[in-house]
Amino acid sequence: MTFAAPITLQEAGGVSMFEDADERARARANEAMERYADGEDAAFSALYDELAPRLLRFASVLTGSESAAEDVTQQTLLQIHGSRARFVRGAPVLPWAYAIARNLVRDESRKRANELRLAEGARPEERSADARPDEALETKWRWRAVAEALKALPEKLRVTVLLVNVEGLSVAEAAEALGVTCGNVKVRVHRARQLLRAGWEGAD
Amino acid sequence: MTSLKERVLAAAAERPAPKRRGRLAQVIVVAGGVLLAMGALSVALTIAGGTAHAAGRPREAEYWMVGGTALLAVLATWLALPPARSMLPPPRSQLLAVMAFPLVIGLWIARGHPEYADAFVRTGVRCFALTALTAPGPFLALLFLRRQPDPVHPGLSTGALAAAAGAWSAVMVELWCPLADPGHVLLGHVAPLVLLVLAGAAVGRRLLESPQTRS
Repeated sequence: MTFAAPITLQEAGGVSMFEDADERARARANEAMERYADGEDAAFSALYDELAPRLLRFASVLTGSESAAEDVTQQTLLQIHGSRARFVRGAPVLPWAYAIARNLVRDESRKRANELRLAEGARPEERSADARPDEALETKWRWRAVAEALKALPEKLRVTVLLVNVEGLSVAEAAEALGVTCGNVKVRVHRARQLLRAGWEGAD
Repeated sequence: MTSLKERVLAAAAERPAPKRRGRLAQVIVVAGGVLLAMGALSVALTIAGGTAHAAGRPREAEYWMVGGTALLAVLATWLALPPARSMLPPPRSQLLAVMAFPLVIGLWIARGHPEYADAFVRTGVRCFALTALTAPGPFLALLFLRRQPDPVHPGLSTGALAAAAGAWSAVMVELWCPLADPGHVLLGHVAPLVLLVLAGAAVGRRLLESPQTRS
């Protein structure tokens, strides 16, 4: 895939290029998880609707395979389901979900002994109910551009940038999901941007 | 062909999971676990002979040695447990720091060596046994307090919990043992804690994995 001009993460839409990475979406996900933990079984469907598109997107980039991404998404949601009795009141569900997904991707990689690849056309199975057809196409094109841009980064930097700049997690949330300090996350994002910038400048 | 959503919902329906307990029930269970662990340590201390065994140590030295070890135990526990409203563990660097607490405790106890003469000489085998046999109690209590599975670094989490549990055992052993000789402290007080931390880290993945992956 080639592009007319380099795409920076800022040009792709600022901190997060996907509109569902906002406070209302987080609140819906957290509320669905609280209701599900308290025993309202019907809330699992709402929880799926909030988490699955994100997890599919995230896992697609890391695994390079749509079927593997679906497996990871399914296993992540089942782990969340299995742990609902131990869900801490008031805890945010997004960092936890991403941490489980990343762990599953790493386990899968070790099993298959493959290098992590990036998707070249993987897309979320379900898009937002509010998206117009032309928005879906634009989203797909932006998504492939991001996947291509992240290809050259080491795994730790790639995952960090994915969480912060694509999935829209705060630095604190990304630090939680990765098990590192906030300072570490900032350093990784900074290094990733330097590498990306160097790569685009080298391509010119 | 079923959609992913249908598959996920069906799989969840096939494996029912219990719901969360109410707040009061959680508090009662946690408080019960803590009291049980403290009770177990107290019983162990009594069986070993109680604080009278440490009669040879100056009172002032006893206060700062036991008090300091207790403060280290509180700090280790606070650092080892996840933040209040989080399903995820503390950062890796924090857990590694807690896992180094056995050495800190050893240094703290051994600093009493030049301050007073030990009442008797022992290699530390009984202190080793007392620490090793009593630490699992607080370890299980802390594991229960922690509750949630760890998808990030389960080995480090349980290693840190083991260090914190060992620190509480060290408090109890300090109430019993009056000796500060560095050789005795290393064998009888530090070595069992180090082994505990390593053992805790080794079983972490199994202890803190999600119930879904276990089935």
